[in-house]
Amino acid sequence: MIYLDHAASTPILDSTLEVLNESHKRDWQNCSSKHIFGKRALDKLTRCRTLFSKELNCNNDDLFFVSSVTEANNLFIKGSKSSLEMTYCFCEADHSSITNVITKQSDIRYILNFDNDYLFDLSQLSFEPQKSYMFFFSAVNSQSGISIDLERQIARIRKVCPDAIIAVDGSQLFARQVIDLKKIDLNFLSFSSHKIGGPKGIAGCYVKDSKQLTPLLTGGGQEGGLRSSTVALPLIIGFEETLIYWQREREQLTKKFNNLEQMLISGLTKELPEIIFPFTHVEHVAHIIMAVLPNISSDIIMRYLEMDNVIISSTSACSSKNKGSDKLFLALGIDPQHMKNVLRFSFAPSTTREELEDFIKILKIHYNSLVKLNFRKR
Amino acid sequence: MYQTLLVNVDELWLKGQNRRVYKKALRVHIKELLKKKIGITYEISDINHRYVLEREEGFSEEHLDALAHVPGIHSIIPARKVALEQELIVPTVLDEVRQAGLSGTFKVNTDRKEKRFPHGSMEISRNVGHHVLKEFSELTVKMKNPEHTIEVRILRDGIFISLRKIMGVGGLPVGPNGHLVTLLSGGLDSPVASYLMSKRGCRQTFVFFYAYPFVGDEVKEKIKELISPIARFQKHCKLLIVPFGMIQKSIADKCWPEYRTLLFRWYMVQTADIVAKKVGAHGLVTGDALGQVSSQTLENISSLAKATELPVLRPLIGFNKAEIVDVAKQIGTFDISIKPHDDACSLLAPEHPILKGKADYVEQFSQEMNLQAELEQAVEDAEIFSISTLGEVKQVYPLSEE
Repeated sequence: MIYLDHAASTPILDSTLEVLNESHKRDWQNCSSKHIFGKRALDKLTRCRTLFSKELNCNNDDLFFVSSVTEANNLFIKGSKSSLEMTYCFCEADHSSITNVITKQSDIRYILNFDNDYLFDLSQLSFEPQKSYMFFFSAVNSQSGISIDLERQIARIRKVCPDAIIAVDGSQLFARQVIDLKKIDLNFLSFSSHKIGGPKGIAGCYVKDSKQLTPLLTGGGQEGGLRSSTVALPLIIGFEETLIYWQREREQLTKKFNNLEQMLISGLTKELPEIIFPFTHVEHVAHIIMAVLPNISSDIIMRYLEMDNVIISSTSACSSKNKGSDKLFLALGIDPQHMKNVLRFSFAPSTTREELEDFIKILKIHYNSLVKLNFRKR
Repeated sequence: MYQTLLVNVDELWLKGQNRRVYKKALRVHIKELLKKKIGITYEISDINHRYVLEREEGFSEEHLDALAHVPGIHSIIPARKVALEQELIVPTVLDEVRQAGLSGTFKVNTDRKEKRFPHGSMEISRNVGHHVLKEFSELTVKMKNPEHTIEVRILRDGIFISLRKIMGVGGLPVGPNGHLVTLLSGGLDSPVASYLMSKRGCRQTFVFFYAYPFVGDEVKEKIKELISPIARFQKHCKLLIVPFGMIQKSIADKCWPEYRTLLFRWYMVQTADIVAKKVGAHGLVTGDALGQVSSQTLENISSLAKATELPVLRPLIGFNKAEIVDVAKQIGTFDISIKPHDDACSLLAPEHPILKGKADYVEQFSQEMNLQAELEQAVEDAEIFSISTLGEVKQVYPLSEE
């Protein structure tokens, strides 16, 4: 099988699986228990939290474990004090755990658009100093791979709205690149385990001022009262092991992903001259590549590849008969005539050059066979 | 809740010698529906050519709705049954009217099937009407198009008093008129065609041609949703989802582009023929309406004549689209059919499909490109779903493993 949809989810790392299995056997104790077992478990939890807070250069008290990035984003959007009076600023190209939550939470919204540098254009925002503003966006757009220059973006926001609450979903950036929270002035950052080969069901978030948040869950008051629930210590220990791996391999993996990206782009461009890579000219991560292959619906290509055990993402689950433009692709600036032709390839540490060589061959065969059918344009 | 239902049967007076067969099929269908699926016990008797269903705990609106979907039933009358004694009629009617809280206009109809009953229909109607008027000032008599009709039926077994009549599907009970294979698409027409053939007493097995990889799972889900209301007019039926995308691609790769749609249909009919032989069906059903789309011109329909030796029934052939839409709304398939879905036939359709296809080319192509083995394999590989008479869909084993 050739699997190139690692941005959706990626296999658990071998070293993580080993540690996780061991931890499930060993670390079943409750971190909240007052006895010696509980104290030992709490020590391990603190050890893990310290690793993550060092990675982000923040305080242990500001670092919380939750079950998923979606939960973290919900917590911050729904739980922020004065959330009902807040003006939410977000981009429609962003993940549904941001866009859908904000849309349901409030009618006071401002849609951000990218400028030519793929920073948010704030020129149309009529800022009112007495109001509260929350800007929520992903550090890396998971569909296109576009990487937001966080320092420039935050500086631009602070210039217009000095007291704005700035929240960032760091799912596709965390661990792959260093995020230094002492250098970038954020109120919130969420990060995922399963996107980097860690266990599912665990994620984390940094909250600058957790007193300003109302928890979604109340109960035993775990995680500084922000997330009541018995702490999933084995999952956190598995997540810790995953971060250790990335810290150790980060430099090598960055080089590897850059090489794989170059190889895939040049190989596909050579074999399929029609292919377009809309975002290679802007700041982007190497492990997510968006491409447009005109003339054939990406869903059909995806299913054709699937028959050969090749898995990619078409990024579009909608029917070709659904009328109207896809907001996400429009916000990314994709030509409306290409919205049904968007493909996404994404890599993991396990991705090899050989896999990509085979993938290029298979895609070429299927594309050429399909294009002869001369599909009706709709 | 009604403790007694009168179930009037439709068209059985036409059936002469075969009446017993049709009545048995209807009785079995009612049993399968109420006893096996809904799980209630009841007594059934055949009085004066109608079924009388009795249940101490009563029949609910859900039970009435289920019966209203059974082909062969003309109407269902929830009734109150009393002994064959004249003095019981008026108090029972007054009680029923009071419970129902009737107001407005009414009339009384008396049907005296039991001729030994000593009072005539007119006399009974007049007497009942008189007492109703006297008791309920908010009711007035109107003989033409009244808002309410009070029915008094004098049958062999008792007197049945009712204020309501629920119209059934009518037609003939499912089964005795044979077994058909219905070619189902996700559109408006084929579900309506199926419904019409259910009303003509035909048991059906459904075939859907699943054009993966040109379409995805969402199409399959739509078909599983669509089969549910259709199956309510069947006793128990099966749906075969036949993998067909790669067969369509082989055809599209080799044929003249303007003949693609026509040839897809040729091979679909051949596949349905294979299914028919496997399940012992005697004909096929399609949703063709003459001239509606390019593949439904007279020439194109006739160019497919040799794809099967079985009769191909086209119950919508003379229907207008608006008429099809009306029936689709009535049977509950409209809202599902209009949901957008990918369709490989239209995706692969040429810009200018042939309108007057030549049978010679179609037949010659099908001889040169003999896909019999591939079609048989596709039927073997079909996903099979069993659908209960309440429309519950459940996956079952492939035909070959049953």
